[in-house]
Amino acid sequence: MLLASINSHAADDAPLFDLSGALPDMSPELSRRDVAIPNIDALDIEIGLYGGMLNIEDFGANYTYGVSGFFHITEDVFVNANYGRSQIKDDTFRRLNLPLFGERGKRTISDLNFLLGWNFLSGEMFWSRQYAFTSDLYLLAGAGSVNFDDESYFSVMGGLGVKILFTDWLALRFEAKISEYDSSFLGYEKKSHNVDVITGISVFY
Amino acid sequence: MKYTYQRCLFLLSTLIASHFFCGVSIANEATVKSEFLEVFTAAGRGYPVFFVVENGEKFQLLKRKTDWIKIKSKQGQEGWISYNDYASSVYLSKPNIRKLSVSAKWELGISAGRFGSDNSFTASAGYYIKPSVAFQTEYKKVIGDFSHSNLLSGKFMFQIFRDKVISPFISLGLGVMENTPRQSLVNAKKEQKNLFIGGGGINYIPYKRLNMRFSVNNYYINKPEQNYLDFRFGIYALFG
Repeated sequence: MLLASINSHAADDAPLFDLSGALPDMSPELSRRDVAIPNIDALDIEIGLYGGMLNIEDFGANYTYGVSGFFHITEDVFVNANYGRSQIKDDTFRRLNLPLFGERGKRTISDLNFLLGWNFLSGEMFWSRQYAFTSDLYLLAGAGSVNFDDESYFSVMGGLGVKILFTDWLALRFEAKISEYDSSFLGYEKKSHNVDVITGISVFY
Repeated sequence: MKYTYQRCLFLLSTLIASHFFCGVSIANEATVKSEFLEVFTAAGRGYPVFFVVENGEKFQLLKRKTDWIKIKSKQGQEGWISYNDYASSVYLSKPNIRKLSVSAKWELGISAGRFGSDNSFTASAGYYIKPSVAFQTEYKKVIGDFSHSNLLSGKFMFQIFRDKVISPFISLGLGVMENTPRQSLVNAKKEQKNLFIGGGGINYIPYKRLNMRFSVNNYYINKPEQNYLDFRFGIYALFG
């Protein structure tokens, strides 16, 4: 009975319901297009200044300052270049009547390094009930050179940092890094370690 | 010390002021064609979604940071959308990642490796004259037991299959090298040498803005005749 009814409808040319105009054209847009990155201001480059303390093995801690540049490749990965300067003093040796650096008792030490960074913990820091700032905890690893008295020493470096973004373009950083290199500051080759703890302000471009 | 503080303060204020001069504000508009578009509080997938822009709504594109775009809705709310969501919601399409990396004009990168028997690290910047031909300038520092060297070079890199994820290349170039021996060595003096560089390697692009490169180069010095083999691995950002 039911089949007979269906057959009788199928045989009829006239549609059961007139849908023309009632529904929009449902043909899906399936074409794959090359979607260009929109031509808007990009904030991938970050340039900053930093200052802090640098501890040089056998020579104690001194102030350090420098410039740093970052290029953010993805939200997770960035490359970082730093150039910093500090003083190296022979106070400890001078007390033992063994001055190393002549009358001035200090020399300039500089370091240049290139690092790869990984933002491994992104989140927000709540400073009060009303204010929250985006933040990143990141790891750094790379290589560079420690330059002292027209001599360069190859160094490998690693570190940990926290970045707090006050706005989209202004960031505050706290970093602790350790570098290892073969030095001959004391007249013989030895493996030395420098530790620096710095604070930096950087601007995104 | 007083002057150092003044210099730092001056540099810092210049840095902040330059941000406002360097920014290019081109307001673009787009319309959501999918059901909705999720908007995040900051540029990263770990941040919370705090509102959505619905189908048919227009929004303004303000700025971009890596693969995230800052938008402003009609109601005035500002937040970040991912580039992939932007492509699928506005163009109802997936971005062609290979095409984007091939269209990049600039690259900036760092690498580390061995130069002869010494450690080295390199910073480089490159410009793609053609999709498969790039000109690169490099600064390399080589630090050995008896001396350290600074190398500055310019190279042309020819890529064979740039539209593939893995693409081999060859490179040819010229440069200068300044070698400074350790001061503890007798009769040590600085030397400058000219270099001819030839090499090759493999580019691997795991992500549209990230290029990993392994390369082997031969640095040839004609007076006195010397050859140094340079192996290195580097990370390069593609942009522009």
